[in-house]
Formats: sequence, C-alpha cells, structure tokens
Amino acid sequence: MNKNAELLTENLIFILLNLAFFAILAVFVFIKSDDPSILEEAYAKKIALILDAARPGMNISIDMQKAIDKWDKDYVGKVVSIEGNLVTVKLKQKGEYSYSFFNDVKLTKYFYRPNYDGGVYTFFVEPYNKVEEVSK
Amino acid sequence: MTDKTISIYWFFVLFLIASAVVFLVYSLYGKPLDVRQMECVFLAEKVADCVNQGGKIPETILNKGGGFGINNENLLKTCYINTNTENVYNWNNDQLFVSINFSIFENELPIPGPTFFAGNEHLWDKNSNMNSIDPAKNKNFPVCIKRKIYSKGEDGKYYLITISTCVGKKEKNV
Repeated sequence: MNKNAELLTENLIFILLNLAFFAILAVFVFIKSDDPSILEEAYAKKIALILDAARPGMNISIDMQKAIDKWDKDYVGKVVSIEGNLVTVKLKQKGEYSYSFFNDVKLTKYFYRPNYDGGVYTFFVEPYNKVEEVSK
Repeated sequence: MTDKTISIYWFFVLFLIASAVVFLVYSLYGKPLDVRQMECVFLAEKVADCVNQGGKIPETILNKGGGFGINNENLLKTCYINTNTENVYNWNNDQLFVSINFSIFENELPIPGPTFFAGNEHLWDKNSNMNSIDPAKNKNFPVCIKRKIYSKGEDGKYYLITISTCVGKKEKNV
C-alpha cells in the first residue's frame, strides 16, 4: 500500500470513530429528552397544582398535546386518572406518575377529549365544593 | 493506526465531552420538578380565603361574641384541605402543615391571640424563621412560608392573621 492510501485509511477510521462517538452521544441525549416519564411527572404536578388553586364551579381546560404526542399507542388505558385527591398520568404500558393535591374538591367530570379539527386533546375538570357536606 | 486515533490526549477530550453531555442531560432531566414553593403558596392562599372573605372573618371562623368556630381538629375540614398523600416513601399523610394565628388589633400593638394548627407540626421549625430559608439552597428542608393579612371580625375588632404553611414531599421534589 502506498503512503497516500495508508493516510486515507487512517483518516477515514479516525473520522468514522469520531462520528460513531458523537452519534452515540446524540442518541443518548435524544432518548433521555424523549422519555415520556418526564412528561408524566410534569403533567401530574401541573394538574395537581391547578386543582390546588381551583375554586368551586371552575371548568379547567389543559392542553395535553405534548403528552399525547409521546403517548405509547400500545397502552390503551386512561392518560389521566384522578382517584380521591391523587392525580395519575400514564403515557406508557410500564410506569406512571402520581401526585396528590390538597384542595378538598370533588371532580364532577373529567375526561380527555380529542379535537379532530386541530388534533389537540383537551382535559376538562370541574371541581365542586363540599360545603353542604361539611355544614351538615 | 497512527498516534492520532489512540492518543491519550484524544481519549481525554472525548471523555471530557461525554462527561459534560451526560452531566448536563442528568442535571436537566434527571431531577424531579420542585413544585413545593408553589404548593405552599396555594395552601396559604387557600387558608387565607377560608379565614378572610371580603375583608371580614366569616362567622363560622369567628362569631359575634369573639368565640372561635375553628379548632385544631376541624381546621382542615372547615377550610376544605385534604392532607392525604400518595402511599409512597413511608408517607403517612403527614406532608402538609397549616397554622393560623389571630392577633387582636385594639391599640397600635397587636395582642397575641390563639393559634390553631393541623397537619404535621414537625415540618415547621418553631425556633427559626422559615422565611429566611432559601428553598433553592436548602432543598432537604420542608418548604415553608408565612403570610400576614388583616381582617375585621364579626365582633367588631380588627385582627392580624398570620398563616404559616409547610409542604414536605421532599422525595418527589428534590
């Protein structure tokens, strides 16, 4: 092999190794940033805080488009469920995130609804106060 | 292979870059979102709405005779606060604390009045001013805030109401 060919091979290996290294780093960053569990936590806490600040009679809409985009289609259950004062967001088959809210309100209805015109899903909650129950 | 591909210098540079990227990614995505400060403020506002409505203390809290309708037992129920938490990290529904102090304003100086509290009182350090603790620097502490409002009671007196709230939930926020 002449000297030029040898130089070319060495440089090619060098470049390929570097490319492989940075590709692995990029994949690592992408996997971490694309992890649905980050959104599960963010939305669970967001909804819990909104319910903490909610007052009787409010009807609250939350745009959950980012979560729906990351939703694992193999999972067919509820994305958001609220049991007692515990909000749970689940976007994938394995794992979920729950966070409690202190505001002692009951939700008269809650559901997520797809808006087919814009492809935006919206989550509605309607808390009501238990004033009558307490005063009894 | 030349020295270029396997040189210690080059591996050191690659190691530095990889470490920096991993560190940044974990510092950005690896830590939970800390919402305790906001939760604490909402809790204080919730209590403030309970003990002060339109600049007056509701009769269910303070009656015309100057008697208090709340006590440590019914404070949470009266103010619609639920201290139940998720059943994790050995939490025993003890991650919140609420305290309300009523001081009467008859002259210039407030006369100390009763204090009602509920929740986990260990979250509140009575010997220190929790307002001085910066939650960003002391993440292992519960986050506590103190709010003061003035209100008029049904007994015609003016009251300084001091509301203190604390939120634990360290494991899910730090």
